Amino acid sequence: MLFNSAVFFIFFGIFFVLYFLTRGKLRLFVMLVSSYVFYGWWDWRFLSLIAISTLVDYWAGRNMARTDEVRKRKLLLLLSLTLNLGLLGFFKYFNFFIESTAEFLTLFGMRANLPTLRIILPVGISFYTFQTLSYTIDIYRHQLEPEKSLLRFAVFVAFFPQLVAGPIVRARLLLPQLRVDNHFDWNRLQQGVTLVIWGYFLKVGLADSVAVLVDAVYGQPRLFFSSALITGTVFYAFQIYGDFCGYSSIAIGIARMLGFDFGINFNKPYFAVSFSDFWKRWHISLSSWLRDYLYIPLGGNRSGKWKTYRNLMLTMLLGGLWHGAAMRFIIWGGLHGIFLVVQRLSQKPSQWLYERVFIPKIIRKAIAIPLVFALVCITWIFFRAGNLSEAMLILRKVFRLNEFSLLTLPPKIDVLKGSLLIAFVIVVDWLDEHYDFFSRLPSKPWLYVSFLSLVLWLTFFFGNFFANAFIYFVF
Amino acid sequence: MKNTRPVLSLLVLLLFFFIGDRMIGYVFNYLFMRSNFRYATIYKSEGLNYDVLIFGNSRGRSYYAPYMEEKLGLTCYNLSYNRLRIPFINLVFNDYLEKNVPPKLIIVEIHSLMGYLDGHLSVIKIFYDMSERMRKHLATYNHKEWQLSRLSRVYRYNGEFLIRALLSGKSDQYWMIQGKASQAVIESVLSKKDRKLNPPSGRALQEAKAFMETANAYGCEVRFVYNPNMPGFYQEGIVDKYIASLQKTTGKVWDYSDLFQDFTLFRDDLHINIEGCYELIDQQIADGFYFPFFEQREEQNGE
Repeated sequence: MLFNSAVFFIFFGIFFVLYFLTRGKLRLFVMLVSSYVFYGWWDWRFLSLIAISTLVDYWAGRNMARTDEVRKRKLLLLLSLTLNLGLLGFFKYFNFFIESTAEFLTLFGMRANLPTLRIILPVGISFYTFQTLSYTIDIYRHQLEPEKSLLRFAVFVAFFPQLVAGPIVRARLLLPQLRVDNHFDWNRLQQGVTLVIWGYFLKVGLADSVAVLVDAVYGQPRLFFSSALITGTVFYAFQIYGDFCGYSSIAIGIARMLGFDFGINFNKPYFAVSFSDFWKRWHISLSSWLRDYLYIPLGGNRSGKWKTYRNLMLTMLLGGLWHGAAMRFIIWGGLHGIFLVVQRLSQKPSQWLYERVFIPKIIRKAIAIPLVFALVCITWIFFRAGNLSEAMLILRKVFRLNEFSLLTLPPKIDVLKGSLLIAFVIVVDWLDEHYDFFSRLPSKPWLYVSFLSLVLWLTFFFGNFFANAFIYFVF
Repeated sequence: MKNTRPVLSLLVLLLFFFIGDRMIGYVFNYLFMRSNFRYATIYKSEGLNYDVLIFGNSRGRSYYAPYMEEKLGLTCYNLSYNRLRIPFINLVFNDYLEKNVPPKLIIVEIHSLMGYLDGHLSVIKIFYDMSERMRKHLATYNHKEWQLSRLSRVYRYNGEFLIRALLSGKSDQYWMIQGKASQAVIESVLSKKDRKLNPPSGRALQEAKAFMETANAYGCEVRFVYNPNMPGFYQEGIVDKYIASLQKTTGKVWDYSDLFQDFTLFRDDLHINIEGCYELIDQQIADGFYFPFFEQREEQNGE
């Protein structure tokens, strides 16, 4: 079920009433059944995967806590990792590895006709797998007590707002909240409505509107020149931001209405002044997951600079692979890894420079923000292109910087519309960055009413209400 | 009463949104109807009186009305628009006839009979208040659009028509495809040899037939025409076959598909540019395409 479908509004309306009419176990039961209906609306068969993950991780967590024997705890953790990553690997990466192996063998003159399977990728598998993994790993590390109630644990795994496209809400954050019977609260409802309206604007108003131009340009990159490809790429940067941040905002808003706090998943990422800053702002629930469960266990930055660089690269490469089973996603992750390494390498020289030459902070920011954005856009080319060769073609054309006349631009109305929407989002994000706009909004009723009305009017005026699923559903 | 503020805020938000929505919708409607955009003028009830009407999708835009008027001495009005097809043409034509004087000649560029016929369903909501016919069509064929249009008046202006109307100036009849096809486009056209042209669908033929019946009822003559293709776009025989299957319903189709061998007369793989338009119209005049309307006028001038 999609957040931007009519059926979801009906579903949520019914759920909302039932949720606040019930208490305790009955409420958990309502939440679980509703979450399964929400997921099963897409394909009920894959509910079995969620159920298997739930049962195995619940059992592993409970048994891990019952013993202090390191070997047994390790075995249980290994079981959980094998099952969850095994399912993820099979459904998401099986064909990729088979095809990559065949390609690799051909490099040595060996022809391998390895069989691939027609596998459907279960929606949200990457998200709920990481969510349940964090549960067993935290128990293994003695950072979390296991959940006693299977029902509550099942709700933690499958709770519909964050089930299919995040944010990845860890057990430490969500399970304690599931133990409390939230009461209806108008303030929370108001906060939730704000986030939901802003989320819908980002998805329907921004992302799906600019997607028309992006799809046209990236659909036939051979036919376009630098100006169109640069426009398409910048628009894509905002499309994916609007799409994913929009989904997260709706999910967090829905949870807020129900009394839950999911934290934040995006924090104005295009105002980042460095790549480490970018990753503290973009898909925060994934980047912090990778930091805590991959980068730090690998040694983080504690074992010398070369190992730090290696750890950064490995984390980002795996982060790329998490997004999709294709070489272009690995390159996308690799580029981010390289940028992070280069940033670390340039820290001392820039410090040396700043000590000798006075450059006002505002100037440094004015240089850093567009520079980081431009480099992020380069990485987005690999993320969006149909395949690796198209990505390389676009990259070559972008850097050729030819044909900048207005005539080579895509339809001007689409450019005008997209630019206006992007400008609006930048202004709102800037206000939030500097004046904490969204937090202050409810305390200023007239500003609240006018701003959200404006957002709704813009959504109705510019929005594309007939677009497809969210981009991150396929990850 | 700690809850008063959020409750009031939410209620006022709802009220403010809907009142504002109605007011903005009213302003948009005013701006649209005040403009000289092609589809706004026909609803103004000013009794438009044109000799020639041109219908088509973006290829139909190649009929540059100011040049046609200059060459033919007939008043011409181009009602073509990007992506729009024969069902929309039928709707617009019927609305046109209700409020304006029937034309003598109608040119229909036949790419408006090809491919996806419902592109108009995302834009006709702008006519929600102006045309009962359009409103009913929307309710029947795109219920979601119709519902959204009922919910929000601002939504009725979602689409490029309002923006185009605001940019239309004194007349939008000067809106023409400028520029020349790039080498990349030409190479792309020449490299693809297997383009297909599916025969017209039953629905397209039905709509074409209905269009002709309406035109005949009002004494209008209809000319179906195939605009020039970029050289090498289709392999030989494909267009002939398509036209043959269409002619059974529409009568003669004027085929200019292979008129040009010069790539500089094209803007892109699908459209001729302004120079191409001049050459096409000159050729049509030479071919007697505008007979008897053009010749009659010459005779009148001679008298």
